[in-house]
Amino acid sequence: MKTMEYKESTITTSRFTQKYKEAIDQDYLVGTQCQDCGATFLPPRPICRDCKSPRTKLVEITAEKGSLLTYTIIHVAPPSLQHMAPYVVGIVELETGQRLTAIILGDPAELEIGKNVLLSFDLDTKGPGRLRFRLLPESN
Amino acid sequence: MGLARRVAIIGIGMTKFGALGDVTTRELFTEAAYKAMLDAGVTHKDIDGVFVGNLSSDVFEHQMHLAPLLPDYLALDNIPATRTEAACASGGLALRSAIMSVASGMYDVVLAGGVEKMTNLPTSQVTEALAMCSDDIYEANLGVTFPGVFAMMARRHMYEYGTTPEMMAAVAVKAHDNAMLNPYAQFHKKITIDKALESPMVADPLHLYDCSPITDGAAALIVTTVEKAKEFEGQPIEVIASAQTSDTMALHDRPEFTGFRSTRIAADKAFKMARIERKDVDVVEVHDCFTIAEIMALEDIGFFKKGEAGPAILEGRTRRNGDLPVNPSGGLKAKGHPIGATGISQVFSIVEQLRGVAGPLQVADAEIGMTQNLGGSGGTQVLHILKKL
Repeated sequence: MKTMEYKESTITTSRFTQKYKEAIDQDYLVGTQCQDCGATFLPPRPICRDCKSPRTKLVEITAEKGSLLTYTIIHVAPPSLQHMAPYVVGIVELETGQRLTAIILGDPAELEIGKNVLLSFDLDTKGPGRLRFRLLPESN
Repeated sequence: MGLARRVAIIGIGMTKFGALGDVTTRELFTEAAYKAMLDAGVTHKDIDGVFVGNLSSDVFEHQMHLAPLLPDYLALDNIPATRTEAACASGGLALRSAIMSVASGMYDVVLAGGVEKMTNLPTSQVTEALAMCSDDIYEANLGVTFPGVFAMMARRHMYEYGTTPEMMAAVAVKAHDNAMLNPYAQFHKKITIDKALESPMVADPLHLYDCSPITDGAAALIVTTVEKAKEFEGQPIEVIASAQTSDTMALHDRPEFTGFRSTRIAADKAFKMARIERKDVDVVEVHDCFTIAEIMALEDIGFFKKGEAGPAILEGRTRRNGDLPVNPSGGLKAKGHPIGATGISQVFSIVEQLRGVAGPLQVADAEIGMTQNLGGSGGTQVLHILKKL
């Protein structure tokens, strides 16, 4: 029966990465929610990390804000991003609990762990690379 | 879990590490491998298999299918040859594969090597190639470089434990001091904490001197059983533990950023397999790809409590004459970091220490040594513990 469960799950037909990319291109985030234990993951994944169930479904992650867990200012950049250097990259915990890595926009002098950031998207980029967070003024 | 047959390393070989110009991957590998064979006293016909760690001859040298190419150039005919790729732990994984193949009884004598020829590309392209070792969709695509990943960990370590740029610089100063005495090392120049802190930023808070260099080089080991070792000349050093584990690819998917869960898990496995305590280790080579990585490795393996490795390094406790000598070879930072060769080279250094032939690098009375080889941002960990027979 377990095999049946796998066959019936979204796992054999899912294109979660593509769905994530399409959502990002339309200015929103999709993750997955486990249909057995309810845990939500971003980026989306076909098997629940918590309970290992393959019964997961795509859900929109509605967070707009998050807080900065750590960051760096990249001075030596790969060729594709050299024109932006120095730029800030950080890990953000969204208000819904999930974490993502992205470029952080705002005044580097204002950078501090724990500061609040706003989800945004770079209009000139396509795909996952367009994800941005913007430092919120007078946060905390 | 354990080794079904007792395993020993009986031969070691290394090339000089550095920016070596127009030499090729196959030439570097052949030099290291032949030196290891001579050291062990094995001939071509004794070798049953080859494992070679290499990150990316594909990107660096436009050469794939490296596994048969290397024994071909070494004139090892019709032999099972396997390439292992686990980012910067590719070499450690080649050794572990060799150990498993010997312990299982599949092979009796195995060549475990590692090689990387990196300096053909300019720094920015190497940075881009190395970034492929992080999650391409969710990290590299977002502008993260490898120094960037470790910089984010350093920032969090500073925030939670009060680690300072001076403590990180002290790792680099010690590495350069040790490398001064290592003929294989890429750098033979002393630096100071002030000089390290004045060096250009790569990924804030990591300066240039917090980062290991881009390096060409190869290293090789001959692995056999403790029993079979008696048939050869090379002084055997026993492998008493080999441990490996993985972790999430992306840093943001982990519960904390101030260390590596994978190091802690692999270290627990290794000490259990070796049936020794942490205090029994006399010398260690850890994966200091960035200075903060050495601090975290010493805490994760359990030599120091969280937040205490930085101050200990600043006090000189990890120098060659300190209570725990760390990276007497100069480490990745100053000996150099030819990715695929690094894990093998760490074991080369420990074997020299345990044989008592490390010359000016020698740590007094070294009987048990350990290596920690980290892949990517900790997605792979390979640890080994070696003991004088």
